[in-house]
Amino acid sequence: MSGPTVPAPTTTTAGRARKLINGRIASLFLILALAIGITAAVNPRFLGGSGLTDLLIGSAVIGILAVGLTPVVIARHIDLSIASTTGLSAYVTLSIVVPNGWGLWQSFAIGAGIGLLVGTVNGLLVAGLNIPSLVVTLGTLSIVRGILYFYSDAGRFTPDVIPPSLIAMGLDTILDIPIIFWITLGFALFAAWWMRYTPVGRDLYAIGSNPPAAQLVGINIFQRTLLAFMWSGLMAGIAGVLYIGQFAFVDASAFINQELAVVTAVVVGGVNIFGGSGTIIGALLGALLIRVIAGGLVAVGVDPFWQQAVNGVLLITAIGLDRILALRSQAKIQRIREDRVEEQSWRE
Amino acid sequence: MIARKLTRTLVAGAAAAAMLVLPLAGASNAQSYEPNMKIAMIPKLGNIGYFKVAWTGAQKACKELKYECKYLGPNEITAAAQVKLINSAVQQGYDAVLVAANDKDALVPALKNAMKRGVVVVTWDSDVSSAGRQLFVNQASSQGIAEGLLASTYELMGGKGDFAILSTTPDASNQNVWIDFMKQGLASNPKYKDMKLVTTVYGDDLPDKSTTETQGLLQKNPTVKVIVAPTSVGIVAAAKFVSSRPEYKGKVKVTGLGLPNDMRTYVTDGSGAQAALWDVPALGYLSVYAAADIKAGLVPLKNNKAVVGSTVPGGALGDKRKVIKGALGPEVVLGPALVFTEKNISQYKF
Repeated sequence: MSGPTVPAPTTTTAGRARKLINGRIASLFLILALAIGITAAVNPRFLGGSGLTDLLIGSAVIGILAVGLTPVVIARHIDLSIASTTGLSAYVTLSIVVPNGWGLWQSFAIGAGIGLLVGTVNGLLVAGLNIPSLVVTLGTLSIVRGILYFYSDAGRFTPDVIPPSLIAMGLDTILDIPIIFWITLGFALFAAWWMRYTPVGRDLYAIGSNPPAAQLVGINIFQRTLLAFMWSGLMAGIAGVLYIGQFAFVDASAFINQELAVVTAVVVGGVNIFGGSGTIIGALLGALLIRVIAGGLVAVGVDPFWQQAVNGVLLITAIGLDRILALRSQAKIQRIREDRVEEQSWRE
Repeated sequence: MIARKLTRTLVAGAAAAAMLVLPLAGASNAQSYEPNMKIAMIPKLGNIGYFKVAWTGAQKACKELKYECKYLGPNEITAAAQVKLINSAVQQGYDAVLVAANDKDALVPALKNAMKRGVVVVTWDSDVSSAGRQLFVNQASSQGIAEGLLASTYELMGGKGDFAILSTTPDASNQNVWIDFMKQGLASNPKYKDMKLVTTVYGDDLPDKSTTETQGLLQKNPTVKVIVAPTSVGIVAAAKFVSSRPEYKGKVKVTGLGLPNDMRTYVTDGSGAQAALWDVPALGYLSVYAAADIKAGLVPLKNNKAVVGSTVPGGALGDKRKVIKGALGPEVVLGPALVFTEKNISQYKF
């Protein structure tokens, strides 16, 4: 299971480390369950009716963007253009699909194409020209939105013209789980496998933990970084199509200024903002958690003027809790390593 | 309901016929208009559907008057961008500028300079201080909007019950004024004595947050029968949410301020939503006529301001509007808010 470019850890260490990562995800699950449980205890209607379905529908777009952003952040980069790309994908997709009378599959193909295009441009600028990703994607954030403003010419797509198959996708469930969340989950599982069991994923962790070392061991940093940005763009393109389904209304300001909500989800999900560690599933749980907190505050009846502040406090608490658990894991890993070294020297 | 008739006329494409009749009917009036005016319409931001719709009405008026009109859309929603456009319009020899102001004060020097050079300055949608313009075309009085929303709420809940407001941000000045007037109306009008506002939530004009807030407010307040969203983003999000949930569809009704095209689905799909708005094309139309009226001396000026009490002949809208004393200076009010319902929404295509 080891990639060719990362030194293979011994199975025992890997096994214990995996347990710790799982412990991390377990802690996120715990926090999520606590948030849902407390809210539901105060207001049982929070989970009643379609409450749970709506939580999942409401997390699908941010969730898939978090899944897209995570590999980029793990590689010690950032992609701030994703919200603009989501808007562009949503609008341009409809502008092609609606007049042609097309449906679901064409929408996903077009959305994916737009996302890949933006992602490739970002990746080439960051990896090819070595411009900091913060600068590049701040630029493309504005450029993409600007293109959308120009292209849309103040137009908008209202529910009466949007293909019914797309609207149905935003409403319908399979096994009580909304279709758009299944799509997010599908990409998340793929990405989780990709990041964990393929050389590309493992290289991204290596690049993020120690870029010079990654270079020294011969990782193709250009190609790996480009791939991470293409993935992020692709997910933003798909997110645009999910956005159409979720809101059934798209204009040039679709999903504007939402990039930081995605960054928040990723960080809450335990992905290290300075690269090198974190998981896809964690980021997805992060997206769910911020949606639960936002919805829970209203359902519990927190004064709207306090909501933002309380939201911030809860986020810091969630991240803080996770951080404490992370530090404990790190200490444990350290101990395991020391044990191993002792063991080895003892054997020698 | 002349405004309503106007829209119907515009939509039916029968406008041309009506306009042919007008100059004959009021020949002296028509002839007294200045020939060949050049008019610049400057919205808050170029690429906003709402302003483009107002522009379609303005174009109609320009066609009738045979004026050369241009839509100068700023590419950012700032006063600085508008100042640039105002200055360049003056240099290019425009005879009138119609401005939806991004700032009450920052545009005044540029507009004063324009007026000094004989350019007619009319504000619409959003006003500037009275030193900066001759007349403000107000889409609807704040009271009128609040009354329209209350009337729609009253109708949707059958006169009795709880309702909630989904607004934009807590500091949005327009929305807060409307909400205050709604509260005053609730307190003072005996017709509304059985209606109770239980909560106000804020969706920040983001579809995502507006949806979350709608869901949360219904979970928190299961007695709510009507959600009033005085924002074009919030109303669509709330209506979409309610219409897609069997437990709410048809039981919780949504109203507020929204464009008919945005709301058509939810007004007609059995969710029973309504939406109120002023007649946006007529707003652009009246703004052009207001400038033409001032230029032609049909609306007299005193101290470079339209004289309060004088009549504004508004083309096909008729001449029933008078200049009144507004919050910032003389203004003319387009009319009461229109309420789009299942019965009439098919007449409105914007």
